[in-house]
Amino acid sequence: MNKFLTARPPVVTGGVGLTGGIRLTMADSQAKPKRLHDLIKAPENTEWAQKKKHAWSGERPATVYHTPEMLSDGTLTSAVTIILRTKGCHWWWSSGCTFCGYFNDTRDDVTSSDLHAQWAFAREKFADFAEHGMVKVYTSGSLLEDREIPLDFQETVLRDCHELGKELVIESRTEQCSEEKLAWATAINPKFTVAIGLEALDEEVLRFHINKGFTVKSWYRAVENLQNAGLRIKTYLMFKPPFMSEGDSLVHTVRWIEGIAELSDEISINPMNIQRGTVIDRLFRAGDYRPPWLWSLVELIERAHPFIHPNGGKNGDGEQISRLLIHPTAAGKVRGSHNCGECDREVAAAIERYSVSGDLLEFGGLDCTCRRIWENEVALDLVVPSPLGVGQRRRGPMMERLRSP
Amino acid sequence: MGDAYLGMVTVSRWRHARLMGLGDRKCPSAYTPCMVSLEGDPEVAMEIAPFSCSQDDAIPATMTFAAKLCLSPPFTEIAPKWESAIGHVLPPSLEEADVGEVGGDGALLPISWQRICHDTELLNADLNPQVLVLSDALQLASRPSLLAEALHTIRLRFPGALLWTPGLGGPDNAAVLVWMGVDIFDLCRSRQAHSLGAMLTPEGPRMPEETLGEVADAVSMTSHWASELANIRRALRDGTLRDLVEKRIANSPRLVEHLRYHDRITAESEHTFLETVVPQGTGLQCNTFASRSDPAVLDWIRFIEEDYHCPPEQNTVLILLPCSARKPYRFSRSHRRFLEHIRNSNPHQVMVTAPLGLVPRDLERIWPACHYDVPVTGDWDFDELARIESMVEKFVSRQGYLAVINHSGIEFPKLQVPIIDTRCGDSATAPASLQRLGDAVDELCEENGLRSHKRNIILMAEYRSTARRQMSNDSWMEGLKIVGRPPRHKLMLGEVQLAQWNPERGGLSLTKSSLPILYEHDSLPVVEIAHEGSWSGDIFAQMVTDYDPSIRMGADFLVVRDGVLIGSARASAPGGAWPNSPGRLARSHHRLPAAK
Repeated sequence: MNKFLTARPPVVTGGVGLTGGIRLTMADSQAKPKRLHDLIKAPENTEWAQKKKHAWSGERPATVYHTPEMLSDGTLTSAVTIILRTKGCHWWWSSGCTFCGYFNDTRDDVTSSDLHAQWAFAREKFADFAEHGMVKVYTSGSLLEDREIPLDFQETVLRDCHELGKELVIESRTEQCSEEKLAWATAINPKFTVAIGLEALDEEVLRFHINKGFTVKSWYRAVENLQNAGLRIKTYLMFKPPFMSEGDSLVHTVRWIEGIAELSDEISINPMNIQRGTVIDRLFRAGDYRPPWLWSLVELIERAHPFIHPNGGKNGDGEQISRLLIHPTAAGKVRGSHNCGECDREVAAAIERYSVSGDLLEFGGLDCTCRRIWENEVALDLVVPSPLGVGQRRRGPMMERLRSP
Repeated sequence: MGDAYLGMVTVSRWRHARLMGLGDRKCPSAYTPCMVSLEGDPEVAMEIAPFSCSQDDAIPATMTFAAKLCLSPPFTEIAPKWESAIGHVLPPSLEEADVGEVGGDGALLPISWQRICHDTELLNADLNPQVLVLSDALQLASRPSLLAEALHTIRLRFPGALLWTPGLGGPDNAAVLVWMGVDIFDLCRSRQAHSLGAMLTPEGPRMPEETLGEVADAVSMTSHWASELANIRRALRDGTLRDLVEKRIANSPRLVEHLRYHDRITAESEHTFLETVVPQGTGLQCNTFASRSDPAVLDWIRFIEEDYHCPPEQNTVLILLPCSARKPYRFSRSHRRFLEHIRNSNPHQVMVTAPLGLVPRDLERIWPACHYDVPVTGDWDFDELARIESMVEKFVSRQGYLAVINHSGIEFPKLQVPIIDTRCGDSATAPASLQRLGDAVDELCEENGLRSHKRNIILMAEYRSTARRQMSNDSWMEGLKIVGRPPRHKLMLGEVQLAQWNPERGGLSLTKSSLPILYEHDSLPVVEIAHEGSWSGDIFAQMVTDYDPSIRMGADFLVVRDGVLIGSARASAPGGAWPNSPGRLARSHHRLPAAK
């Protein structure tokens, strides 16, 4: 052993006296490092978050709107989406996902009476959903979680939709999809869809990138229970979670789709968008994260299509394994999936059309000069040992973007 | 796979930058700065890219870094080849958090800002990486000062390892990154430019000029890299890398920022990368605004403002003189005329200049005062004036002069002591100016009863001043006398010669006889070595058991073994690069009988 190495601290100690707050020390932080959990929770108690949280009325849903949809038998219809203002997600109460900004839409004192008022408001607004075949009820958490949603309101939603003859879609984490709970729910409404935010079919990604709080194994268990209960399964996957490059996201999400296609009636890809107050928002503001390219979504669909339609067909074909949906939130904006700014509208529209038709011809003839930049970024992400990616800004004068960082 | 050792030898260095030979140190097969090939890259010659790197697609990924040549002893097979898990990486913006799952810790060491901040394993003395991969270099580059902080910290902790900043380097910034300590580059940014139909050249990105047959293809991509690597390697050999860096920072505002932060860190770091004495022929070209923040300049200014003490024999009257193009100033025509008219050696002569601010006459023959070159137009700009005015005010106040004779042509209205302007709007060498200069000196000396000192007293004051700058103190010079013909004066203690002025070095050459006296007076830094048997060769990392991190390149230091002084050596590498730097750290100079 070289005595020198042990005799002297092999660290930089010259930080003392340097101006401008420059640090030249290695691993010497006096403070205990924070966990990712601490960063996720930090914004919730900020003044702006609290102010916003208590600015809402508990008797009105966060939002109610309708969109074109497809029923489970392939029939085109219209779906009403009701985002209720609730107490939020129990996982958020104890930790939370890195990208989730739903805490912005919740308040702590929502009662059963409030929820019933919100439900009544939505029913009234859309005339008991008379012109709509489907109702999606989202709670910024799990509808079937008793700690979040009073049991009587769960029952109201399940019963009303069944009695109105509407296909119901609710969201849930895996923990709530127990045999007992599903038996209780199906006794009220025997046929509805449970959408689970799996986000990634990869334990490492769930734990490190997402901080999901459940495992892939628990998702498999939930799926088994849902299948046994005769319910439809919708699975959400997150495209480009925090701390992951564009290239890695593309490669892995295709694999995850392949892995879940047989077990999911629908697969909904959620391309990352930046919600205020989240960890991903902090990364975005610091320039450490860019939302996905729209081209990545096109490529993702083209690569995953064979797992959905093994014979190359489209939605409604007999051999269809599942249904692949992508509705990029804030498409074309820098806080949502975006390209160069020139082609965004056209590409986003094609992605939306595919979600309905399942037809790859939707992407025929799509091209732009930025596609080569995107191709190059994805290729480089997979070979350069830079896990956070090598992507650059996509908009602005080209030569400025190429200048040295 | 994983145990092979990469043969390395330092061929040339300047502060953080190094030209390293790879492979057999007697006959290197390749050199750094160099490139690493990635999948999808065009073919690059092995002299340029002696390494390749690939990674699997797991999360987190594992990378493989391999030599394409025989770079590992005994240099008969293509080696080394290492694998390492990259680990989870949080971006620099989340620096207060730690995921606690870092990458590998072998010869191939992935490192990130998060790891630098939180991974105490990096302090493990057994950690001896050969290649460092700064996996979030791109993200660090987008945040003020972090890239400079990270690179400086890494260089200090692991001076013997090659450093790669994936995705960050291009022909336009490679010189700056090499200056900051990066050794390995990739084609990532060149490929990004290529995807836009543009070329990344040493002068920045641009579209090809089709009228001259240019195309943005693989050939142009690699040729721009080859050209810039040649520029950098040659500049490292010639000691002109800073000049190249100051050209390249104009390619991007971010590069200017990185360089400024890095300059400041380098100038202020206790673990120094600076130099005391430079090789003959080395210059300090101050042709751009960035020259003003060269660490040598910042260090000089700090020294003059905080540490410098004027010779006690000359602490009553200050004469401010303009600088000259020729160095040392005393050999210039203008200064000869000044000296003719300054008929009393008692006043202290100090030159006002840019970018160094002030250069006392007693230090004008040493680095960097004797080596800088600055374009002279006769006009000072606002920043130069501000620096000089500030320095003069502090200098006069700190040294305690009673009066100032101002022949510099710059006004100093805030000085709190009597000041005599001898220029009165004339040029410095105008007969009237010179007359006023001479008269003012005579008048003030007479008023204050200042008698001219004998030449040897002024010379000794000059050598003592030099010792205070280049050594730890001048206390060893008590009782010395000067003999011999200029400029190679000998400093004698009785009949024993202790030192001789070496004008080519710009420093004192110490004799063997001086070593015990220097040791007794703590006048030189000490390095302790543990070397079995007779100490015959130079100083290498394996021999060193303790050292002073403030040792500057070119500086003399004393060598001690088991508490016994055994000789002296001259640093080939600055203290900041000492732990484990490959190759010679210092050249032995004198060996005392105890070295046997």
